Amino acid sequence: MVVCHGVTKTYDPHVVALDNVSFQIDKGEFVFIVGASGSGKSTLIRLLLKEMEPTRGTIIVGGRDISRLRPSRVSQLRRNIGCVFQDFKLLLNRTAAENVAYALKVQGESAQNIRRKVPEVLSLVGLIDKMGSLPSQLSGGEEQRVSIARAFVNHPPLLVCDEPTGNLDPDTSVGIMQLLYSINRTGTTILMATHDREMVDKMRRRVIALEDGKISRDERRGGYSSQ
Amino acid sequence: MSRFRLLLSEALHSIRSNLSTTVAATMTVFIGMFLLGVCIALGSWMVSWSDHTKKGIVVHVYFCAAETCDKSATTKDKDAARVRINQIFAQGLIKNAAYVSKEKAWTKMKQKNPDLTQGLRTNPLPDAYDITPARGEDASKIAAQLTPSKLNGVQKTTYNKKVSERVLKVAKVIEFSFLLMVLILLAASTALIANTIRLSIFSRRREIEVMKLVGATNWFVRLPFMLEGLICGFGGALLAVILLSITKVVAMPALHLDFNAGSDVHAWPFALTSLTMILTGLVLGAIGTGITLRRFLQV
Repeated sequence: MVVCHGVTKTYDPHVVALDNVSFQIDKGEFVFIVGASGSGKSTLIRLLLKEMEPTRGTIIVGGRDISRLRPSRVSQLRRNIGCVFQDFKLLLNRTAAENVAYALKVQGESAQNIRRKVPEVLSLVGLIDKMGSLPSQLSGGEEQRVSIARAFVNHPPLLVCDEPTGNLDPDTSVGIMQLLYSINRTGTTILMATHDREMVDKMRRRVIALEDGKISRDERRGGYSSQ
Repeated sequence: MSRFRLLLSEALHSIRSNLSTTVAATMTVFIGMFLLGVCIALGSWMVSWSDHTKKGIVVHVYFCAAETCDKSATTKDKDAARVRINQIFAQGLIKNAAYVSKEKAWTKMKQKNPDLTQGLRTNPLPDAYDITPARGEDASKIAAQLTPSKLNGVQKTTYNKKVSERVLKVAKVIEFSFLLMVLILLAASTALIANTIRLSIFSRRREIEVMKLVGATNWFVRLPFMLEGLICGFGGALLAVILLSITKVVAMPALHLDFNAGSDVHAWPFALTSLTMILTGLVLGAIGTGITLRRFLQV
């Protein structure tokens, strides 16, 4: 699903965010990317979304080398990668349903499909009764659920999450992780950058640890810290 | 169609979300376009008036008569002058040339100024050619080729030099000022639309970020802003057309402003001026938005 080969990202001649990073993630895997702040987690996610280009190396997503992707095809790439962020990135003046529908509208989905898919996915994340609520009327956990619903409404093969529980209390975080786990069980590959030690230790999934831009550890069923 | 509706609703949503900025830009376009309309109306009227005045410039070639020279102009001299005039005509400098005999000139004079001719026993007027230049600016060139030093039997060649030169100078100044004013107004309106779109991009940066993340195409991100710029330009220009028509229908008659300076002196037709204003508003909207999108919206 995702192959990084010798990926290096240098922000200016002296700041190396990622240094010769190589790994492969198979379809259906749930992978945690862990590491201290500034270790390169967010840079890796931005490279996968082609928000910027690697200085060196190749990134292959869904069998396609994204560094060779024409700018006009980037939107197609992003339609196949759902994104969930720590700050939810919801449109504050639109309701939960409108936020989810927005992703579909942008991609040219018909009104009929939008009417069908939005309640479906909001029901999946447990927010069917909050469809008409604005983000300001939702709790942090609910906002993150809307954000997950928006990312998953198209059933993308890959879901990329950047600190999705970073702003949430432990109980709410558990609910979000359970939701992501259930999405993963539908066959969606999940790549999640996190600081949440407890969650990583509890889930016992594949862990790729970054340290100063380099992979320090890649364990099939790892914890937040090396044993 | 549903996609266009979506883009239009996004543009309207954007306008609503920064209404004050949009209104400010539309008002600026409105003022700019109104002044442009006034400039077009006044400028085209003045250009028409200066053309009309330039048409009044006539080169007079007076032949020698017994009263004015030692020797009267012969038929051969007059033929030579006619040939020379034909040559100049062939160069395209002359619109019309008419031979005016001294008898004809006398009759005209008597009709025009009966008091002046009453006391005169003989006709003192010489035979002459009245030459209308193709362009007022050519009068001096024509006169220079028909001077007494170049043609035998010619007493003098005149044209209303001072008047014509002043008219031409005024016309040039008017044309230049008109052009300069329009250019400044167009540049100011474009810059203001560009700034509005820039503010709009800033205020909608979250939406833009989300659009990009969920896979919107470049055009999907850009088009609402393009539409917003066009709506600004069109709205401003439309308001300006309305105000200009009110000025034309209500204010001008009330102020007793009369621009009647001859049947062939007129400004551009109002419909053409309005169309120019609307099209200019749209073009300004497109250019202003285009500049900003290129600079500030990398998708």
